[in-house]
Parts: sequence; C-alpha cells; structure tokens
Amino acid sequence: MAYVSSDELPKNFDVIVYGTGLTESIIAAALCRNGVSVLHLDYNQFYGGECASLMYREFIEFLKATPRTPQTQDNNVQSTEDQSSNSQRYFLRSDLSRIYENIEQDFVEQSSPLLPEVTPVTTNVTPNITSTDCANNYSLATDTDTKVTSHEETSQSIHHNSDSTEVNEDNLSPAPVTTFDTPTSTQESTQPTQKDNKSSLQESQPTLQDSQSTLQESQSTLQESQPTLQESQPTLQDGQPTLQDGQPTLQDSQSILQDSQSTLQESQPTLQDTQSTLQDNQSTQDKETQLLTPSSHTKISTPSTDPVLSWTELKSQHRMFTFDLWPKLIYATDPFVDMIVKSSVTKYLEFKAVNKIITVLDGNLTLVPASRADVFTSKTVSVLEKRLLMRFVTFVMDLDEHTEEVEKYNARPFSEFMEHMRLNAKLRALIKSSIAQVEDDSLTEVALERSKFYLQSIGRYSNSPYLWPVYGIGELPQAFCRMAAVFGGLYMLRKEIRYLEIIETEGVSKCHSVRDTENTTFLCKHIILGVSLVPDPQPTIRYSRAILATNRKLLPPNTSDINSDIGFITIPSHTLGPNQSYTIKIIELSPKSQSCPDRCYLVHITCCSSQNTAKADLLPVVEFLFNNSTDNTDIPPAPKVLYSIYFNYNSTQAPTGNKSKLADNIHLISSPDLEPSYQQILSEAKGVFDTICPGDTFLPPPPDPEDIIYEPTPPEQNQIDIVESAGDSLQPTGTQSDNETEQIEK
Amino acid sequence: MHGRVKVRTSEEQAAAKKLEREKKIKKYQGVTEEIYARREAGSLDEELLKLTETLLAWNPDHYTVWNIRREVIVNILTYSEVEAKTELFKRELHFLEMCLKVNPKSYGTFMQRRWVMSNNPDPDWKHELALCDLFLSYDERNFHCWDYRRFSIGKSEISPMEELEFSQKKIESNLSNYSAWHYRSKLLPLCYPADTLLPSVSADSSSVQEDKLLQEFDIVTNAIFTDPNDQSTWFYQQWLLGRAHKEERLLFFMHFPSNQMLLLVFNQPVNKDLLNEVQVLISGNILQLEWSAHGSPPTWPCSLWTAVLISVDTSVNLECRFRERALNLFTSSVCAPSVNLEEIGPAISLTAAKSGVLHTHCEAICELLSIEPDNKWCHLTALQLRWAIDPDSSAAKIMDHFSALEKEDPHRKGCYQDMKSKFLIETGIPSFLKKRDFSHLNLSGLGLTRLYHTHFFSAVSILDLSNNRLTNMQGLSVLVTCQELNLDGNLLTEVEEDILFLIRLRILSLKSNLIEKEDSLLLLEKIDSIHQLNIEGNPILKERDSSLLINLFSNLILNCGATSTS
Repeated sequence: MAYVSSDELPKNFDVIVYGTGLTESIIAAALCRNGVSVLHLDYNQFYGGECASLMYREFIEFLKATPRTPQTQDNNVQSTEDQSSNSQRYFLRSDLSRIYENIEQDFVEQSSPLLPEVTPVTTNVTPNITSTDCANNYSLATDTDTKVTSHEETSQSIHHNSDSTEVNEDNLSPAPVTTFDTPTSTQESTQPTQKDNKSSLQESQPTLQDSQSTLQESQSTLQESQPTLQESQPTLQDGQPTLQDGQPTLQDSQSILQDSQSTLQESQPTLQDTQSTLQDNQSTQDKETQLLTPSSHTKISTPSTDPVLSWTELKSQHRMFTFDLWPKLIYATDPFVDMIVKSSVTKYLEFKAVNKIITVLDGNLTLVPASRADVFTSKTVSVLEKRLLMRFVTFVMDLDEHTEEVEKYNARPFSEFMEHMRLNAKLRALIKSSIAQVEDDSLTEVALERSKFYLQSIGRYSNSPYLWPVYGIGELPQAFCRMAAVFGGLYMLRKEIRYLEIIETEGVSKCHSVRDTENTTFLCKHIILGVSLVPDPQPTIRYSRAILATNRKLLPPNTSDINSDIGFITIPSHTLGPNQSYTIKIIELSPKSQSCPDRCYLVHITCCSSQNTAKADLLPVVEFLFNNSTDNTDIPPAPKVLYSIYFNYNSTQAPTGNKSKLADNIHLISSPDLEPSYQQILSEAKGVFDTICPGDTFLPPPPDPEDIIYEPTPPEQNQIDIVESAGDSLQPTGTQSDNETEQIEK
Repeated sequence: MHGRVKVRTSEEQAAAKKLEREKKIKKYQGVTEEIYARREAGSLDEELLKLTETLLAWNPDHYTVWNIRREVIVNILTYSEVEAKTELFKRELHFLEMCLKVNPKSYGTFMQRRWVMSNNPDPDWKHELALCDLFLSYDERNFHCWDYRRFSIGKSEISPMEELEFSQKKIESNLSNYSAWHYRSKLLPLCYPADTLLPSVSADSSSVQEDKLLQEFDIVTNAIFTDPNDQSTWFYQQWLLGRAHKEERLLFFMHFPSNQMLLLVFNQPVNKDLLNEVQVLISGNILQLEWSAHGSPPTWPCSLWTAVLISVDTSVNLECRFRERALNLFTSSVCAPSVNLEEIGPAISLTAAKSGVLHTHCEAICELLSIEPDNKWCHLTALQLRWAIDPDSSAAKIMDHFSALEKEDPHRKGCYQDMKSKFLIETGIPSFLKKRDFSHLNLSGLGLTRLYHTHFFSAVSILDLSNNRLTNMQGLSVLVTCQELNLDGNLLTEVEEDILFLIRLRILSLKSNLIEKEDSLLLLEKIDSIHQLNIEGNPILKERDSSLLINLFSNLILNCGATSTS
C-alpha cells in the first residue's frame, strides 16, 4: 500500500498486537522481522504495559487504573449479536483496576541536618482535600510554600479502594483534570506549584508523560544505532511524535547495520563499561575483603557531615525517578540474553551488572561470595568453608558429569543433598537463599538446576550473574518495539480497542477485525493481546510489592563502602518471623542505574503474597532493614526511608497454548511473572510466532549490510511520512485503501 | 519473498570476499615492494615513513619493515629540530598504540615501543604503565605486556610497593594468574628485604622479612583452599617454603699417594673459584695446586675436586684449610665429620617462628587432604612439609604419601620414585654417620631408583647397593675409597664410565642385572685394582659363551655363575 498522505492510515494488517508488554513486543519484532505486517497498539501513552518503567505520575495513574479516555461504552462485558448472524462482538475489559490492589503510600518526612529546627507546621495534607485545592497537585507531601521541613514523620497510609473514585484521598492521585507541565522535561521546576495549577487539558498534545518517556527514550537512544538503510524511511511509524525528540538517528542515512555484525562485540562496548566499572567495583570491594589488612580504615561519617538527601531536595527531583512496574533481574546465561544478542536487539540497550549480592545469615546482612574470586577474597568464610563451597560450585557447574550421584537425591529435599556434600549449616543457608534461591521444602532436582543457572551466569559478562537494563526493565519492550518498527511495524499509542469482531465461517470462528474507541475498524488475520485484557476470569499469581526511596545504600555491618551500582538482597523465608512464608527479594538501584537522582536509592521489594495486603507482607522487612536508629556512632546508620509505596500485583496467566477459546487466531499472552528466568516469556513468544509463521526462524540475526542487495525504488515512495498520534486524526472507516502493506525492499 | 530483506547468498558472499582479499593482497605487495625500492634508493624520508605506517598497520609483525622504519626515524631525527623531534615521537607512540590494538602480542610492536621510549627525550612512564594495565586487563597473561611493564618500572620511578599492590589486585581477580604470582615473588624481596642478607644473591624467599612471608602464607592458603587444582598457587607456595642457602663445607680431605692425587670432598657442588679459598699445606708450606673436577664435566659445579701431588712421602704432614677451618687428612679410622641434618635435608630456611607456621600449614594441608584425597598437590606438599619438620617420626605417613602420589599422578611415577630414594637415603645417612666405623654402608633392598648425596659415601670402603632399582651408575664416581661394591639385583644395562673413578675398587658384583653387551664390560679392564667380578644372571651370558668372557677378563676372577650358555 502506498502511503499517499498522512491522514490515511492503513487498515488491513496480518497481525494486530494489542499491548506493548515484553512478550507482545518480542512477538511483534519477530513478526516484522519476518516480513509480516503488524499493527501494534497500546491503550497507554507509554510502552511496556505491565512491564513499563514510568515516571511517578504515570506510575501512580497506571497502578490505580485511572480511566484515560472517556468511555463511550459501559464497562460491562457484552457480546451482542450483530445483524449478521454469524458474527459476534467480544468486548475487552477497560477497567483494569483489579490488576494492582491495596495501594498504600507513605510520605516520610526527613529533615536535613543542615537546616535549622522549626516547630512543626501542619501540612496541607489531609484526607478529603481534592487535588485542585491543593497547591501541589502531584508534588509530594508537604507543600513547598513553606520552605520549612518538620521533624515529624507525617506518614499517611491511605488505602486505595477501587470502588471509591469520588474522593481523592491521596494527594498524589491526579485529579480528574490532569495538569501537566510543559514538555521541557529538563527544566527543573523551581516553582512547581504555579505550573501545576495550570489545568491545561492537553491530551492530544505531547504530554509530560510522553515527553518524559521519550526523553528516556532519547537518552537511551544515545547508545543505540538505528539501522537505517536508505534516506527514505517511511516505515518508521510511531504513534508518538518521535521526531520531536530529536532522535538524530532517524535523519541518519548511514547504514549502521554493520555495527550489528558481530553481535557479541556489539554488546561488548556497552558491557565493557560495566566490565571496567566492575573491575573497579571488584577492586574496591576487594579492598575491604583483602587478606592483608589494609591501612585504610572504614569511613564512618558522623551525622553532621552526612550528605543525606533531604525531603525537599527529593521532591524537587521527582522527575529523576523511574519506577519499574516489574523489576526482574536477568541472568546472564538466560536464553533470553542469547536471543537479544543474536538478534542484535542489544544495540538498543545498555546493561549494568548487579554487583552487590547480599543475603541474611544469623540475622545479619552478609555478602554472598559465589565466583572463585569472591570466595578467595571473602573474609566471612573460613578456609575450610571456602573449600567446601568451591567444591559445591564446581560440582554444580559440571552437573552432567555427576548424574548417578545426583539421581538418588533428585526427589529428596535439597537439604539432604547439601548434607551429603558436607556443607555446614552456614553454607547450606547461603546456598539455599542466594544461589539456588529456593524455599525450604524444595527438591534437589529443581534446586540444582537453579544453582547451575546462577553459577553458570557468573563470569559471562561480569563477576555477577545478573544484568539490569539501564533506565529500567521498561527498556526491554521498547527495544523490541524499535526493532519491529525498523522492519515495518506500525505503532500507535493511546489507542484502545473496544471489541473484537468474531466471524464464524464453516464452523470455524475467527477474529476478523477489531474496532477501537474512535470507531475505526482494522482488519487482521491474527490478534495478540495480553490475557489481563480479556473479561473471562483467568488464574492469577499474586505478588506483594513495595518500592522505597531511601537515602543510603544497604551495607552489611562492618563493611566499608562497596562501589556497586545495583544490589540484590534475598531474605530467606521465616527470617523475619513465622509469617514470612516466602523468600523476599530486594533490588536496590543506585543513581548510576538512571532510575533515581543522586544520593538517593530506589529499592524494589517483591515476594509472593501470603498475607492480605502487601504492606502486611513487607512492612516487617522494611522495618528490619531501614530506619533503625542507634546511638552507636561507630557503625554507619541504617538507611532511612523517604518514601514508600506498597501494592499487590495480580499477574494473570494465559491458558496453555496461548489460545483463546473463542477463536484460533486470538492469542493470549500471560502477564509477566517474577520467577527467576525469562523462560516463560520466551517460550510464549516463540510459541505464538510458530503458530503464525510455522517453520520460520525466530528473530534471526540481521544481515551484514554489505550483503544486502538494494533495488531501486520508485521515486514517489521516497518520502518520510510520519503518522501523527492517533486520537482524532483518523478518518472514519469508509475508505479502505488497497489491502497490501508494502515493505521496503532493502 | 515479499517483505523480506534481500541478502546475498553464501556463494555470492564468498565470491565477494575473495575479490576483496585479492585486492588487498595486491595492495600489500605493492606497498612492500615500494618500501624496499625506496630504501635501496636511499630516500629515508617522510614518505617512506608513511608507507611503512600503512604496511605496519595491516601487519604489525613484519620485522624488516620495523627495522626500516627505525632507520628512517633515525635519519629524520638527524635533521629535525627539537619540537619536530617531540612531535615525531608522539606520533610514533600513538601509531604504536594503534598497532597494539590490532595485535597486543606482537614482538615487533613492543620492540619498537621499547626503542622509542628508550630514545625519547621526554618519556611519560605513567602513560606506559596505564597502557600495560589496559592490555593486561584484556589478557592478564600477556607476557609481552608483563615484560614491557618490568621494563617501564625499571626505567621509571614507580615504587615496587605500588607494583606489589598491582600484583595483589590481579591475583584477587583471578587466582590462576601465574604471571602475577611470579611477579609478586620478584617484588617481595624488593619491598620487604630481610634484615640479614645471606651471601647468596638470589632473590628467593629467604631474603624476605619473616612476618611478610607469613602473611603470604595466609594468602596462599586461602588460594589453595579455594582452588586446590590450580598449579599457580602451589608453585608460589613452594617458593615460599624457600631454598635456604647451604653454606659450603669441606667434608673430607684425602690423599692417594699411589695415584698421586689429592682429593677434596665438599658438602655440595661448588664452582672452581671456591677452590681459591682452599689451602693445602705440606709441613706448613702452602702448595700451589691446580684443581680439577672429579667425575663431572670441567665447567660444571662439582663436589669432588682433585689435584695432582707428585712424589710425596706418606709420612709428610699434609694439612688442609678452608675458610678458617682446618681439616686433617682422612684415614678410615677417623670419625666422620659431624653433619647437620639440615645440610642434607630439604632446604627450608627454618626459624622458630616459621617452623610454627609450617606446623599449622601442614595441619591445614592435611585437613584439605581429608576433603580432597585425590589431589596430588596436597600429597606432595604434605609430604614436603613433614619431611622438613620431622622426617623420622612421619616416615610411615610420608611413605603413604608417596604411594598416593604414584597412584594419582602416574605420569610422574619416576619422579616420585626418585624422590622417595632421596628420602630414604637422607633418613639413612644420619644413623650411618653416627657409627664410629662407617666403612661399611648398607643400602640394599630400599627400592632406590637413584642415588643422592653420594658425596657422603666418598669415605665408604664397602658399599652394598644390592636389590634396588638402579638403572645407571650415576653418582658412583665419588666412591673413591670404595673397595667392594655390590650392585646385585638392580636394573643396570651397562657399565658406565663413572666406574673408572673408583680407583680403589677391588671387588665388583653385578649379579642379576640386565647387562647385555660386552663392550661396557671391557671398561672394567681399565681399572687396575679390580680383581674380582661377578656377572652371574645377566642376559649377556645367554648370548656369549662364558668361556670367551673368561678369556676376556683373564686377569681377574670372573664369576659367571652356574648358568650354562644355551
């Protein structure tokens, strides 16, 4: 189909993908790479769906499932019979409030020791104040008019109740009238209050969120190299006005695909940074664990000289926060990593190693040694324990050689096997909680597989087995969407599908088209969507999550500073009491991971739910790790929590085979889970791809640019046409241009 | 297919690549020819410099072109001013860095860099070290880089302490880094030299401060426990155990009037120049003597030294002095010199503190052994430590270690058997030396595969080495006073020239060996003193008629046993 003008959109696609979650984005990229025409939509203004990394406002809105566009249909599920007897309409859910529940926020006032003490001032924050009254619409807690900070901790735990949409109890929930700043996101608002009062409804304009997320995008594109093969790139369609980002690569006419040739080397420049930072980290980390007692003493900073982040400062830098909806570490030998390297999606991504790994032993935080170098330099393990630990490590690395020895223990508890390996209690706890990461009752077979996964990941890219994308997990779906767009995918954000039209011919039901909220119909041969959008109840896994902003990094006692960008802490089950039924996993992000401002740390806490609310599950661990004030000036004080939010996440699982019962060409995708590997995501993506394109290669490596055969294209196609964001610019569905979507012959 | 990127097939790819390659080769050859031509013509100028640059960028291993480049640079330097010189050097260094990126292990590049830095009027050694750091981070065993690093350190003023820290960092990141451990062993004596330096100049562990040595023990123990299969750590530990310097001592001073020979026996092989410290006096007058090594090639260190002494009456008073000690002429009735076990045992420089460390270290190794019973290094180290600390009481355990070693490391079985022989001899010698009459020495039935410390036997008259596993006569040359030598039941295949040194030998028994050829037996004829020979049970008898042999050795009593020739 020729793109003749900018207000005519194609309406006929091979596949429509609804929702830009990670799995959906991977499928979109694989399909586009394979030459399939894809329309990729998302009802949000951002990419990533339940995997996104968001600025604060977007984050809260998404959690609370604030309605975005005015509803023209009611929320009830209906399938009405149409005039034609063999078609039915399948309405999708538009109320997604039950995905996140029990949202509770605490705003903790923290005084800066440098400011004078004043009498506490009553803040404007009380329940029942609607946000339009409040001077600070979305700024946090105390108002900024009084530049005074109080010593009191004003903590507000306010329960979110999805039923009561009347009262905005929470100051941070945006008013029905959303107010936005102007899109210059680099502007540090010195007077956030005034700006906030501007109630400019600019929904169709690039919104703050848009520009924020695109700022993030453009920041991340600094490392990327877009493969542009010709000057004409009409296929890069993005629902957002991405050109306004000033992404330089769109204009770039160089063929940069040659960078992607040796994909591992490609990822190396970005990872070499981490390697070099890692070596620095290693050396400074080792400095404190080295065996010749160093002359350097641990730096104890007294409170008066402590550059603690104050609440006021934190507020003013709220735009520097990136909240991950779904913080999941990536193991270095995960097939997912192999896949992104092979397909060279890595050129859109940058990673950091998670080089501080801690667990709790005997009630204290302890560094976990796992690589040979760690074990060698560790001071927390005796020489004999080192030997036994290394024995276990080498055993597991060569697990295939020991099948007979292991067979007898496969169905037995893992603790028995560990005893067989002569590991003492301390080492057993260490291995169970940090290396195998299993619960107490786990069986040997599973635990060994997981241990192997962990240990083999060490040393692949760094001394740590884990990777974390800079700017957050939300970068992953964006990278795949980018690749999909490069290979011809069409993207539209803020587009909501109301219903699917299912037509039955000769006894076979197939989804024929979809209709969006502006009454445009798109034809498709397949539709892929997240299962959480489907009205029928589905099984869910329930997680308890918390996100905290703290002012200092967590360190084991008697450890001097570890130079780490990201830390991972496991709290084994029952450490904090009999109610803690599951292991709690914590990811601590430092400013270097680009998720929070300087001198602040963003802490993600996750576990499987066992209590009623997330706060009930996780408050004990927060109290254990933070806010412990002691008079002992010899040890550095524990970090303080400046802000916290708790919520439960219900991750919906798609049926096996990812097929909907209604029609064969409706593919349902599970919500992301928080298990250690990305295996489910990858297998779902491959499964759906195989159904749609049986026998074709899944995300093959891009070709060497020197090998690409260029054919001359007719002149009228050499235009760059940018399609504006959806919303109002679509024509009614009367015009149906020719039904071929043409790809560029490259 | 519709919608797909068109890519060349692999044949097309191969063809395109071949074309590329051919173009490149032609270009390369062209440039090379031009370089040679220009050099012939003598135009060593900037242009030639540029040409060499292009070529070396492609192939940094073309040594001739590096040489040509140096010629050109030298030439250019002669006519350029100071600024141009520094410019030139800077450019050269930059170019070399690029070459190194292509191939960080190129001899030519590093050589050139060394040359440049040596001639550079303004060298920046810190930069060189940073460069070394960088390349070592890529490959921590790049020996070119290590050498270059040592070169830079030597030229610059970087302290050995910093380098010690550097080696520590490298070890901590990867304890298999043999280069780093080795570097450390060179730096430690420089950083922490021991207060009392022994005359020996070698920088071995004995020249390091003791407390630092003990710290190193701690580190290396951690490393050993972390990975007992890594050789680097064990070798370093061996180095720590050290080689003590054994002081040279004169053991015996002998006179053989009938051979007109004076003989000196030292406690270890010594060089000829040490002989200058020896004085032989006859009735109080110093003799001028020319010493030659006995039983070794002339330039090698040797334990036995002989000198010719003509027509001296046996009643004359001969005296020998070495390093303020006087030694009387040896006669068989004189007691053996008192010998310390340390002189013959494994040379570990033991002080009181260190022996405590060795004990704990030994215990640690034995603990490791309980977890890793198959580890040969554990056995070897435990063995060596026990041998050093208390060989007599640990003899049984040591023998166990030997068996384990032979089982775990069968490729080195011979080595371990030799080591065992050494151990047995060493433990045997003290008791032997305590006897008043040490003219008889019985070392039979010990399974010896090789002889050690044979210079102690130089005073022995009757030596029984029967029923061992000796395959050659190595070490027997020192048996100058030996009159009866029993080598029955060994694995000797021939008689070697060493036997000629046994100038007093009267009775030689070679029963049940593996001697096949008569040529070697003929050597024995040269020994005048020999008058009884036993070659019973040797394969030679199967081939040759015993009567022939008897004729051969007509001047001595030949015992061929009752075996009939078939």
